[in-house]
Amino acid sequence: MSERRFNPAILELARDSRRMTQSALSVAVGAAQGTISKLENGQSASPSDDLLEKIAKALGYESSLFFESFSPRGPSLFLHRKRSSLPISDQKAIHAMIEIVRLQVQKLLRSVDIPEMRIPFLDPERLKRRPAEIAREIRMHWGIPSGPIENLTAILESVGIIVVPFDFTSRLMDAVSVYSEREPMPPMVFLNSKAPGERIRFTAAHELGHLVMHCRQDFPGDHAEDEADAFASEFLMPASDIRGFLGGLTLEALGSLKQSWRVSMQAILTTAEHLGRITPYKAKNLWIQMSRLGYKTREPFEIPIEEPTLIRDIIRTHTGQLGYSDAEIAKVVHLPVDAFQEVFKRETPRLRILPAS
Amino acid sequence: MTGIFTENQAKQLLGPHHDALYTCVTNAFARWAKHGMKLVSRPDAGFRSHLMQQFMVDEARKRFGNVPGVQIFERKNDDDEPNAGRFLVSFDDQVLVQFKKFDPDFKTRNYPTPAAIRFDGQESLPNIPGGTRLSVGYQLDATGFDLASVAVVCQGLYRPNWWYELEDPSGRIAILPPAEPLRPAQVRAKEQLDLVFDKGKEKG
Repeated sequence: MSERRFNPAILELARDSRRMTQSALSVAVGAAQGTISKLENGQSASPSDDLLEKIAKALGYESSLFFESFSPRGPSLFLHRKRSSLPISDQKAIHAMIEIVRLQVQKLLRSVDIPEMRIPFLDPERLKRRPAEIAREIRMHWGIPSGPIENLTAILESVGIIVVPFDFTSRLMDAVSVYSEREPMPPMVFLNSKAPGERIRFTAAHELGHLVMHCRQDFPGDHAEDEADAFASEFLMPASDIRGFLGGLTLEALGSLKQSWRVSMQAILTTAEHLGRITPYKAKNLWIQMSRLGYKTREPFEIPIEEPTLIRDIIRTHTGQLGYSDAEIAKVVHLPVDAFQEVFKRETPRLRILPAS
Repeated sequence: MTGIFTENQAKQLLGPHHDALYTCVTNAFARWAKHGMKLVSRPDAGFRSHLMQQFMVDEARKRFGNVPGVQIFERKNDDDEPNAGRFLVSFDDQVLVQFKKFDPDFKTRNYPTPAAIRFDGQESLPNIPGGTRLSVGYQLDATGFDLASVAVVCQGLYRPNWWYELEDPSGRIAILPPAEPLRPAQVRAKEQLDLVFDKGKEKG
């Protein structure tokens, strides 16, 4: 029987993932705050089985989670598309939850194979190439035909990226992508499942840009976000393919183009401006019209959200081919069965930061 | 009416674009056959012509939107001239191409508005750039279920000045082998489970 070692870092991670303070957790389990603090700082040995079960229950996990040897990453090692006003506490909770999901997926991947990772790494600075040129290279490399991309999520999954719809419980975070060549884990992209379909697609392409251009940089500079945006724009709307559609733009035309190219009307108008296919006067006019109609916050002709299939199929392979029961898989991912079923057993697994139970 | 391109001049100027022009028409017809034909149970000829027109324009936008020397020219209908809307592709500012359906004599089936008559007669029109006006389009076979011909036509007032057919490029150019396609993501159980995943241990 292997020795189980209590992992203080996982306790802190689990608590952060539920947005609980040490004080709130101590109240929930009837212990002193100092006890929780010492456990997290590694200054006390493993807690008693009774306390451990209470902590696990309060946080909505199985107590086996605290004995994982997983080393969480620091928040600075994530690449994310967010608005600058996202509070630090929210960022911390999101990063903690993502780390736990990565741990869960890592465990599930012990028994199944997913597509091989096929992302080339192309550093724009070193190659002296613009992000748009890199986006074109990637499309050619993967043999993506010219024109609109019908299902971006399917492409990402086919090149070995695990795409996770994630309720960040905040509109201020669009996505997080995590990947390191030093870890035996596939790239994972967590996308805000509450955003409109077209925004999710653009964000997914933006995250792909990060994975292609920045994942070998530990601390990408401020320009990384602009580069990822430029990559996303060209990846979804190659200039040579869309240019011919951008003449005589009207609101109606923007709506039609949105439905065929599956990007926002605003992204199309911006592209038309960049390509010089619309005069500044006409562009300004369209921006004003869209603003008056409230399109800047919610556009019409919402694009349906693309549904990832990899995580769903990983679970199905366990329950089907490998003959696991829900209770057995729930144990593997350290969740109570009902929480496992709520998160992973839906048609499209959709993760969210659960309130502490 | 001087300076209209001869057939040979047109072939010389449009030669590099023949394959793309041909593909605009054939792809449009393929889209019609795949999607348009199924939209209604008994599509009539007008419905087919209209959709074919839209598909051809769409294909032309894809192929000619970013080609040096080629410009897309669009004029919309307006209150003064409700039938003045046109989609034209200009080649080297010398030739203007529109996309059309042809009858068995390679004449376009335009409603004879004054503007249409002047257009086909190669006469000047306000807000339309200069250059020889050509039509690229198709004839259908007798059943209407297949293309009989794809052609470049120089329209005259009553009959075409000249026309020539476009060849199917796949008949003379070797088709490049397709790039390795991306396959849909699949999950497979690992073969040696006992070595990588101790199910009993997880239960314990």
